[in-house]
Amino acid sequence: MNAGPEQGGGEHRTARDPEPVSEPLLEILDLRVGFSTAAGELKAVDGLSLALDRGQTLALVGESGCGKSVTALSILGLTRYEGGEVSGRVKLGGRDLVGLGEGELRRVRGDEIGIVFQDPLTSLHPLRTIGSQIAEAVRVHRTVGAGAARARATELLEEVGIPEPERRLGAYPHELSGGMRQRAMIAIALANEPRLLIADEPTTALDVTVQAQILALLDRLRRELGMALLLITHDLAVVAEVADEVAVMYAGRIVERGPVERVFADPQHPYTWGLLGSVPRPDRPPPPRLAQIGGQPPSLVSPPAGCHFRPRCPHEFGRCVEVPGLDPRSGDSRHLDRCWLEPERKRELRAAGDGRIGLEARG
Amino acid sequence: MRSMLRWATMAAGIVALALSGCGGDDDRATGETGIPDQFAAPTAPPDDARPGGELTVIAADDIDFMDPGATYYQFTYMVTTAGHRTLMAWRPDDTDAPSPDLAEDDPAISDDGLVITFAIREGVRFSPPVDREVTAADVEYAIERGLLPGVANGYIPVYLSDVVGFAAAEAEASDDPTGGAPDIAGITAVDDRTLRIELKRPTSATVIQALSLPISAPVPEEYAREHDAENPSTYGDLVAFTGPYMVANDEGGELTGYTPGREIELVRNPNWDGEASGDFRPAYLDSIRIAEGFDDTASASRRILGGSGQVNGDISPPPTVIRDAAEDSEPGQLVASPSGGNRYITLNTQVPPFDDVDVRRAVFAATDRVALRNTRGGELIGPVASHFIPPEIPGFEEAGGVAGPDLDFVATPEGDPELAAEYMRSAGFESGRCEGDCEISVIGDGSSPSRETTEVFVDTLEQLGFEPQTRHVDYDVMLTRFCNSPEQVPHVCPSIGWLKDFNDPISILQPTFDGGAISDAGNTNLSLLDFPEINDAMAEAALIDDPDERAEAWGGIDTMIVEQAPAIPYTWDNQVNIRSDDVAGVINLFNANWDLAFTSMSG
Amino acid sequence: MARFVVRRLLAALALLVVVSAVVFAIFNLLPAADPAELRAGKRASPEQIEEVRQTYGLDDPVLVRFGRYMAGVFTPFEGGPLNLGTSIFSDNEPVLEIVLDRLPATIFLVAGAVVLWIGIAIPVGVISAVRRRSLLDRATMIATLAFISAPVFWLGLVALYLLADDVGLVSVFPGIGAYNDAEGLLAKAWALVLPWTVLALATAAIYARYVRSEMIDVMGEDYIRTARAKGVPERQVILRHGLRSAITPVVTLLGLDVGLLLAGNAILTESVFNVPGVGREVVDAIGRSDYELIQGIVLFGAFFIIAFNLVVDVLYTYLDPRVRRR
Repeated sequence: MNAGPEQGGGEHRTARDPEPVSEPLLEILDLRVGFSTAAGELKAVDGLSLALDRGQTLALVGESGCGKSVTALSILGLTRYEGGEVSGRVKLGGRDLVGLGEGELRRVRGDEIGIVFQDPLTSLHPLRTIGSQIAEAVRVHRTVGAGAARARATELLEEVGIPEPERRLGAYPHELSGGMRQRAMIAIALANEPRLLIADEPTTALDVTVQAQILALLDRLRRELGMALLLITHDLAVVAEVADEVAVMYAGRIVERGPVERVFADPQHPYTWGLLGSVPRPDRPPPPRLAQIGGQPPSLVSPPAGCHFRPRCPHEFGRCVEVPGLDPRSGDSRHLDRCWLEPERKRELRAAGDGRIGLEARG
Repeated sequence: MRSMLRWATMAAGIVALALSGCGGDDDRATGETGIPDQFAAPTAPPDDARPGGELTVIAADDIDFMDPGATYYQFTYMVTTAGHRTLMAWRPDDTDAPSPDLAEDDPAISDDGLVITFAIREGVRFSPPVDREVTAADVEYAIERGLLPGVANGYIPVYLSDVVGFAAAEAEASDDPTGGAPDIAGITAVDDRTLRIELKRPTSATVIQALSLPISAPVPEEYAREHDAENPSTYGDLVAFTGPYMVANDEGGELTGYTPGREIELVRNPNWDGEASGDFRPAYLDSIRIAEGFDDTASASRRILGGSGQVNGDISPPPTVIRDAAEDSEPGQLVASPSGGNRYITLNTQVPPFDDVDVRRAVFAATDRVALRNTRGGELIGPVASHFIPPEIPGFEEAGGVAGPDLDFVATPEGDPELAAEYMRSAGFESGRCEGDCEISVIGDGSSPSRETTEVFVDTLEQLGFEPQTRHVDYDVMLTRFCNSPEQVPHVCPSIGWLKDFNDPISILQPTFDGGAISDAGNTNLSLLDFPEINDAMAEAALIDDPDERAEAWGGIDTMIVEQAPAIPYTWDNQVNIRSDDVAGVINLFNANWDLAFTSMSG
Repeated sequence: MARFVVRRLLAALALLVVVSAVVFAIFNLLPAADPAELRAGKRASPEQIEEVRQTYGLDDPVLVRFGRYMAGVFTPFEGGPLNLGTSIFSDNEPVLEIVLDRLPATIFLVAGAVVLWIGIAIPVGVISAVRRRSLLDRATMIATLAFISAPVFWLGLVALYLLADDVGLVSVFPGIGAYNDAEGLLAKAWALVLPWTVLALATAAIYARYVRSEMIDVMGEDYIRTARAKGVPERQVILRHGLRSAITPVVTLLGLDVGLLLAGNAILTESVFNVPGVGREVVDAIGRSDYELIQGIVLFGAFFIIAFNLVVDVLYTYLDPRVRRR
C-alpha cells in the first residue's frame, strides 16, 4: 500500500451532509443470518451489532467465510434470494430495513445504499453495455428519459475517472480492463448518490497497482459526496489507510471493534493479533514466531460453545467456554472486544519480540 | 403391375384377416380362397344405386404415372381406368376375359389367328380441350408411343412382341428417342373405325388381354406430339381422357387437378355420354378425390371406416384395425378378394446342389408350407399354395385347384421329412441329409413379415443338412442387385412373389419359369429354370385361342413346373379393401380394388 | 463483422460441396437397388432397362455423372445452378420443383411448432427456475419425462385418436389430411393445430428443462445480485438480466433444431398427420427407391442444417458480444 492520500478520520464531513449527528446513519443490532443446509442451520452471522456515522468509514475485517459479505448483503436484504433467514435490526437513518417489504426495500437499494462487489467481471452483466447498466441504475429510481440517463451515465463515468466516457458507454465489460470495470461498477453504485456505500472487497480481484487507485477513488468519492463507507476487506493494510473504525469478524461474530488507531495500537483479541501478525511487511523480513493462524475456522453449522476462536487460540483457558460479551475491556469505551483474558495478560501475550504484535503459533 | 413393392404393404391387410378370428370356419368360407361370406367382395352396384356425390380415395403414395402409356401399377390402374376407355376392359365380375369397351365388340380374329381386327366405337370423344371424336389412329398412336424411351411402357415389349414389325419399331425408338413415336408395321388404322393388328405368331389371346391395360387408351397425336418429343415425355402433364371421369384441367389441358404426392381431383368428363357411346360403366359419382400421403395406415383405415364417403386406395388396413372392423363395423365395410398373385421361394436350378431335381423335390417335400403361409398371417391370408396359378385365373382348377398336382412331394402341406430324406437318398446322399459342400446362399427381404418367412425356410434347409448363409437386405436391393441378376442370384431367393398382369395364366407362368425369359438384367425367372419341355409347352400354349383349351394347357404347364420343383409356392394372397358405411362399394375383381366407376354413395 | 460473415459463408459453401459429394457417393457407389430396373418395370427386357438408363443418364461412368451432378447443382452449366436432377417417378418432375412444392408445408409446420414450443418453454422454464420445487416445477419435470420418452409418432396417434374430428373420440381439431383440404392460410393454420402441438410438446418440455437449468445457473450469477442491488424490480431482474443471458444458449440450440426439423426431422409428424412436407416426400421417395429425389432432399436438408448453423453463428455474435472480437 503506497497510495491513500489522506488517512481516515472524522474530520472530512462535507457541506453536503449538514444534518446533526444525533443517531448513526447505519445501525445494526443483533443481526442474525442463518441458512438452512442439509447438515443443519448455518449461522453465517450470529448476533452482529455495529454502527456507522455519516461520512465515516467503517472497515469490516476478517478471513473469507467469516460472514462479512453476508452482513453486507443482509443490509440490502439480498440474502433473501439465497434463502437466508434474517433477524435483528438494520436501521438506516432510523428506519428498520429488515422488516421492509420487497417493494420498499427495492427503493432503498441502489438509491440510499450503493454497493460495489469484489469481482467486477462477474458482477457486471456480460451481455449489456456499461452505459445501459449505469443508466438502468438511474432510471430504476428516477423518472428520467433515456437521454438524461445517458448524460448522467457519462457524468458518472467521468467522475470515477474513466477517460473518454462518452465512448465507453457503448463498451461491454469484457472490453475494459479490470480497474476500469471496477470504476464502472462504482459508477453504478454511485448513480443515485447514496448515503451509504458498501464496498465488498472492492480491490481483491484487481492488480496490485490498480488496487491503490480504486481505494483512493472510493475515499475521494466518500469525501466529495459525504457518504458513509462500509468497507469489507481482509486486508488490514487497506483498513489502516482509509478506515475511521474497524470491526474484526470471526465466525459470524464481531470479536473486536473500535477506532482504527486504537485497534491497531492496542489489539485486544488474539484473533486480531493473528491478523496483524499476518500482515505482510515487505520492508522487514518475516519473523519466525509470527506464523499464520494455525488450524481452520470452525463450522458455522455447529460452532464451538463459548468463544468461537477457542479451538485455534494458543491462549485458551477455562473460561473460554462461556461466550464473552462484546464489551469495552481495554479502558477505552469505544474499543470493544470479546476475550476473557485480562488486558495486562493480553499485552504480554501479543508481544512478538522487537515490539511487534503477533499471535504465537499454537502447540 | 410394376409394384412388387406393393406386395409388402398388401400383406399387412391380409395378415389381419387371419387374426380377426373369422378364419377357419368352414361353414362360412366360400370357394377355395377361404374368404368368409361376410367379407365377400360385391361386384355389382345395389339396385337402388343413384347418381351424385363425391367419393374420397385415401392413399399413402402417389400414382406412378399419369401417362396411361407409362402406368404399370395396381393403384394407378384403379385411378386412371376411371378416366380412360381401353379397347377391352374388365367389368367388376370379369375374371376369365375382358369385355369390349372402346372396341364395339370382341375383336375379329382371322382363321389363321394372325390378324386381329377391332371395330372402334363411334361417338367416343376426348375430354376438353381436345374435344374431338376418337379414331382408330389414336389407339395406334397410343400403343406406338409406348415404345419411346421417354414413355418406356413396361409390359408391351413382352406381350406385343409378336406383332409384325415390333422389334424394328423398338430399335427405331431406341435410336431416336425424341423423333416421335415409331411406326409398328403390324398395327394399322385401316380407317377411323378399324384397327388392324397383324401377328407373326397366333398369340392373339395374350395380345387381346394386354390391350385391356391402359396402353390401349387412345392418345391424340396432334395434342401429344410435342410432349412425346421430349425424353422423358411430358404428356403426363396434360393427358386427354375418354372415360366418365377426367382430371380437372385448364383451357390448355394442363392438369390442375393433379398435385403429385398430394391429391388428384377427378371430375365428370363433359364429353362422355355413357351408354350412348357404349360404355358399360354407370359412373354414379359426380367427383372423386384421391387424397394421398396417408402414411400411417392404421389411422387412415380408421378414418375410412368411421368416416363418410371414403374408400382405401393403395393402403391396406393393419391387423388391429381389421380385427376391430370385423366386429364393430357394418357388414360389407371390409371385403376381401383374391389378388391374383402368389408367393414362393426360388431355388437356383443351375448350380449345385439344386441343379439336381431330386434335391429340389426333397426341399419341397420337407417344407412346411402351412408354417410359411402362417408367418404372413394365417388361413385367411389365402390358401396354402400347391402350385403357381392363383385362384380365379384360368388354369387354376386344371392345375389341381387348392390341393394341387398329384405329386407325392406336394401332398403334405405341413412337410414330410421322411419323403424328403428319401429324395435326398435318390440324389445320392446316403444319410438322407446333405453331405460335403452344403453351403447355401440365401438373400431375402429384411422387412417383416418376409424376414420371418425366410427364417422358417432356413430352418427347413438346416434340417436337410444344408448350411444356409442368410442375408437380409432391402427389398429393392434384393431384387435388382441379386435375385434379378442371373450372375448374382443366390441359391435361394425366399421373398419372391408374382402378381398377374392380366387374367391369363401366361402372365403368371411365362415370365417366371420360361427358359426364354432368362435375361442378363431385370431377369424374372429367378430359378433360372430352362427345361426344354416346359419352354416348348409354353410356346405352344401361348398360341391357343380357345379359353378352355388354353386353361387346360396352362394348368398342365403349371403341373410340369411343379414337377421340376424350381420353386416352392406357399400361398395365393387375398387383398382386403375397406370403405365408409355410406359408400356402396363395388370391387373390380381384376384389379382387386374398388371400381370407381361402379361405386356410389348410399347415404 | 462483414468479414466474419463472408468467411463463414464461404466455409458453408465449401461444406455444402463436400456434403453433395458425399451424398452423391452414398447413393451411387454403395450397393443399393438399381433405379433403372425399378423404373423399367418388372417385365422389362435388358434393352429396355438400358434405354431407361440412357434416358436418365445413369449409363455414364460415375465420375461423369458426378461432374454433371455437381455442375448442375453449383454452376450455371448442366441446367444449373440448383439443378438437382429429375425424379424417376412422380411424372418425371424436377427434384427442385418437388422440394420447393413441399417446402412451404414443412416450413409452416416447423415455424408454428417453434413459436408454440418457445412460447411454452420460456415461460414454463423461467417460472420453474424461479419457483424451484413448486407444483409447476414438478409438473413440468414429469411432463418432460413423459414427452421425452413418448415417440412423436405415438404422441401424434394418441392426439388423433383423442381429439381429431375424423378418427378421434371427441371431435375438436382437424385430423389427418386436413392440411391438404384446407384453403387459405387461416384454415391451414387451424388444420395444423394438432401437428404443431404434437411436434412442439416434446420439444417444449425439453426446452423448458433447458431454460430452467440455464436460468437457475444465471440467477446465481453475481451480476443478478448487482441488478438487485441496483434496486431493479425482481420481474425485470428475471427478464432483462436473467433471461437475457439464459436465452443465448437456447437460441443456439433452437437454430440447430430448426435446421434439423427443416431437413426432415419433422418426418414422423408429417407422416402421421399427412402434411405434404419434405419429410413425408422423402419417405415416399425411399419407398420407390427414387434416388435422385432422395439425394435432392438430403442435399436440401444439409443446406438447411448448414444455413442454420451459419445463422446461429452470426446471431450469436449479436447475442453475445464476447465472441464478436474473434
